[in-house]
Amino acid sequence: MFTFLHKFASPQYFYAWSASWQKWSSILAVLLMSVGLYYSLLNSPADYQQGETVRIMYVHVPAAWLSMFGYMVMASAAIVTLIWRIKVAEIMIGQCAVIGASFTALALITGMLWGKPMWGAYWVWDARLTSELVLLFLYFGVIALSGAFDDERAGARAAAILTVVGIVNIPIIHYSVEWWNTLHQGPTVSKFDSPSAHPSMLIPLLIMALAFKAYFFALLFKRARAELLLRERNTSWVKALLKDTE
Amino acid sequence: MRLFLFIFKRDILLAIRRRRELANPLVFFIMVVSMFPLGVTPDHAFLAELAAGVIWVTALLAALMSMDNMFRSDYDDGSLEQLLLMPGSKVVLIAAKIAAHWFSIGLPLVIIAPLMSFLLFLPTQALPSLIITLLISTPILSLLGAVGVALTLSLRGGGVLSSLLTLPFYIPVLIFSTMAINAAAVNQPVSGYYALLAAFLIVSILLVPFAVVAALRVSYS
Amino acid sequence: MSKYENSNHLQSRALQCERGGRLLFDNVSFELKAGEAMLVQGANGSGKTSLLRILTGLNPAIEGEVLWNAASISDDEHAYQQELLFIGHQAAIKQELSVRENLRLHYSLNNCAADTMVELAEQVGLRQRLGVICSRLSAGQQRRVSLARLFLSDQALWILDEPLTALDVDFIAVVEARIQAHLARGGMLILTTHRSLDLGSAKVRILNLDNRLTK
Repeated sequence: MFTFLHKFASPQYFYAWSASWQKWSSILAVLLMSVGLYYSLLNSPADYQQGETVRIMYVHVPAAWLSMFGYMVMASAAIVTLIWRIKVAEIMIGQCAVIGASFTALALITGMLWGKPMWGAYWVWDARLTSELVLLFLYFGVIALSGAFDDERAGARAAAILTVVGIVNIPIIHYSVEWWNTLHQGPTVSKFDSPSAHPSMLIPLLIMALAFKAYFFALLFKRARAELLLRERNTSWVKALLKDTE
Repeated sequence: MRLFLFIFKRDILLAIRRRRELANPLVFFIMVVSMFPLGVTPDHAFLAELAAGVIWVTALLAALMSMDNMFRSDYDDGSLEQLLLMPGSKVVLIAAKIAAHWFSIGLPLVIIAPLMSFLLFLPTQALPSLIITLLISTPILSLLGAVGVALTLSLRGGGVLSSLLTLPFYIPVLIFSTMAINAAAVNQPVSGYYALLAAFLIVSILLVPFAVVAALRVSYS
Repeated sequence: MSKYENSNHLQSRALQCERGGRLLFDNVSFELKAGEAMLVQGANGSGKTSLLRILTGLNPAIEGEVLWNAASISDDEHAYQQELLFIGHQAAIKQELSVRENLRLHYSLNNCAADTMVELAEQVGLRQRLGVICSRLSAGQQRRVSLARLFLSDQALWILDEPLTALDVDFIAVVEARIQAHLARGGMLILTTHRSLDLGSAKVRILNLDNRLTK
């Protein structure tokens, strides 16, 4: 099992098999995204309360889900890094952090855009927005730490430890923020939540969520492959690869 | 246990010799708290409402300022590697260092915080909860701070980075503590908050030393 | 406790070390038996210090392993650390503490009686300075405080990184004698040094790190 895993995750082998994964997840992302966008933007009812503004949710909610999902993927890579010292997993951590941070930022921005018409202000200290903001801080920490080391492998291991500490902490942070929010219930007019479970809204939402996940993996593979080539530039297999493409 | 005491005594002795340096975060704490009335308003009622949050946020910053003391000088002069090469549990070693750090920074913070609460007109009925939350939570600050410091030990300018890494982890401490104090100020029950903080403390005590040992290994690679 | 056993041996298998993405050395293998010394040589930046630190277990090797009495040092860290004395580049002296307090830290968990402490200070020539804060000492004197560990040590394996830096001739002779006694008892020594050091009749191996790259 262990030797199999090592071979499967060796840089050269990973570079070979991830090519098709990258391709298929990209195709899947494009397909799902076009279907999802069609339904969510054109072919779904407006909310009886929020009106057309509800359509922001079809981007906001998948982005928010993905920001958590990205952290989970990053944490998995971190655990693999700490236990088996696999180079590909080390690379994944930094790339997950960058992509995850971008989606967290997207969730924040769409949340603010939604907030303006609904709350009359771009920012309200709502539980979900606050949690997203804290998550963004955590991502920034991982990005800053992994980039701060001269030795990339040490940086990756440091980032891995931080990620694992974070995964223990995130639920605590999440609940503390939620609790804090219920006690300081401010001027929020309506609950900031995913569209109600009506199928005509839920299905496009789920398609969008899947599209975002596929897009995430497409990006992750693309970035990881590029980073891998950069880090392994002095090895014989990369040199051979470059010679072939010349 | 002997190892724990040896390290603890060593670090306390060093802290006593470095007391000037150690006083800096405390002076910082006092100064920043006294800036608030100057910058906001000396109004009695307004400051009273603000007091818990201001004292706590400032205490977080003061604690962060002091974190570098925990491993930095030992790392720079090579003592830390000698300690790590001592036969014995590394987890105990780290736990002792964190305990000594709390003793030399956290405890003084707990002691001077009530004085600061007078400056900000914190309601008297909230004072016990201020002290209790500080007592339970400052060890958490030392523990979580140790992870950040250990991760950034080998970096130039690691101090600032370690603050950035650590601050988000302090959020639950900040929330639970200030909520407890604010609840006490209006005579609401507070034991639930204490229980949550204590649970957080226990989880941190159990897990953090392992994370710090792993982080130090990275710093030495 | 198995200190100074004749069966002690340290072995390294195919050690590889990388610094900042550059391979420093590759395939370093050696074996060291009781009573033997090994001199690690090489140009600046050839990885001498890195090798010593890998041998102590402080730094991980990218590839290969270090075996103490046939067991990997990472498997039984505790047993290995009981046999190991490492003195690195840095003096590991606390500047804020007096000579006496620093010496007491050298004893770590062992009890130290006041007179053995005085004896130790005598051996490193700092008896008159026991109460002095270390930041007031000269570099050579600080080095002496650091090297006092040698005179306390009952560990079988010494790993010393440039131990003679900043020392005067008299004290170098003292250190030399101490090292010879250690080797004669069946101790082992791994050393880097820019100055020549008389190791007496012990068998000395040379490990040259220059041009160690196989690729």
